[in-house]
Amino acid sequence: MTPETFKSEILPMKHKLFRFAGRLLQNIPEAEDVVQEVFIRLWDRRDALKQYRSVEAFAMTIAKNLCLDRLKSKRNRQDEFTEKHEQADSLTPYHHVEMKDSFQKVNQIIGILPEQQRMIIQLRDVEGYEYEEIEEITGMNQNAIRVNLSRARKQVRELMKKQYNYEFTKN
Amino acid sequence: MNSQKIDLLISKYELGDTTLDEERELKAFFAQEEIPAKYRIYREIFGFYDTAVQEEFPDPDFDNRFFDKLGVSTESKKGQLIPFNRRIVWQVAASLVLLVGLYFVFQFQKQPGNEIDDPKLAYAETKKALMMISGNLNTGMKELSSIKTFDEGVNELKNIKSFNEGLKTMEKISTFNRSTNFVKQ
Repeated sequence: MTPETFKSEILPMKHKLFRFAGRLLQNIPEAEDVVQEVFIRLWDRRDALKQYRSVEAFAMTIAKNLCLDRLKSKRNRQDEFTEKHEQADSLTPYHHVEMKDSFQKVNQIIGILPEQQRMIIQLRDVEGYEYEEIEEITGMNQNAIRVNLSRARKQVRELMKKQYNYEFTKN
Repeated sequence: MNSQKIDLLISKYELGDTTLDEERELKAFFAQEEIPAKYRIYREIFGFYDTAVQEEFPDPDFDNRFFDKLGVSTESKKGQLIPFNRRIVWQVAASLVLLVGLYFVFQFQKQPGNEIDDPKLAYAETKKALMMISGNLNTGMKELSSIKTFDEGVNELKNIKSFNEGLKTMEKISTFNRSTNFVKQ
């Protein structure tokens, strides 16, 4: 594969990869790093890319692995208690005030979902992937995907309701 | 879409049972201006998904930076890969230049200002041109004088005839051989 083909066919995936990595890592510079790392790996295999049925699914899988590795090493560095504490804390009244518009509201709510749910919400509800593609990227079976997706969707709705009730009582 | 159908789709959606098409239907429904207040949460959620998918990679110059980092020049590789195309480009360019050139020469000749009205002057100009051609022709003719030498060479070849005659004479030697054999016997 020539640099031109790589540029015109592979690099345009940067937006989708960035959104995916951003959703998982909840950190923009880190997500950018992951996207670059994905492309370096694809570039190293540029002549073998034709063998893949879907280069995009392959790229997304690499991104997923890189993100999960980063999250794991971050978890190892951090005391697990503090992280859970932080997560539970992120919807305290103080944070509620910080939420400016509805976009950021939903964004934060999805941000506190467990990794797998975040990943699946991103792939299905944001990017609109078919279940077969999500299976390929996540390595999960369709049933587990649907269960996680269902939990995530209900959780988002519940947290949004809580948020509204809070705003209602505040005013 | 009536609210009953929406409620049904929402519960299907929350069970993870909707198809992509049904999910697109939901997004389209909640993107409308006027929707019942009871759906405001869903409006925000689906509105979020619609907006989130448009988010772009922050660095607009990423592609160039990426190749710089790899030390790969997208320009030089181009030359290595399409010398054939480049040759065609040159050929087309050369043909165009030639065509444009011919067009201008043609136009220039057609212009009335280049015609010579005075017959004497025209005669003189024509004569000059013809003299030039004949002069060049003569120079060429001089070179042809060497052909005479070639002719002389051909004449020299006439002597081969004498050689032939000599050979014929030599045939007599064979007769001599036969006679010596006869003597031996």
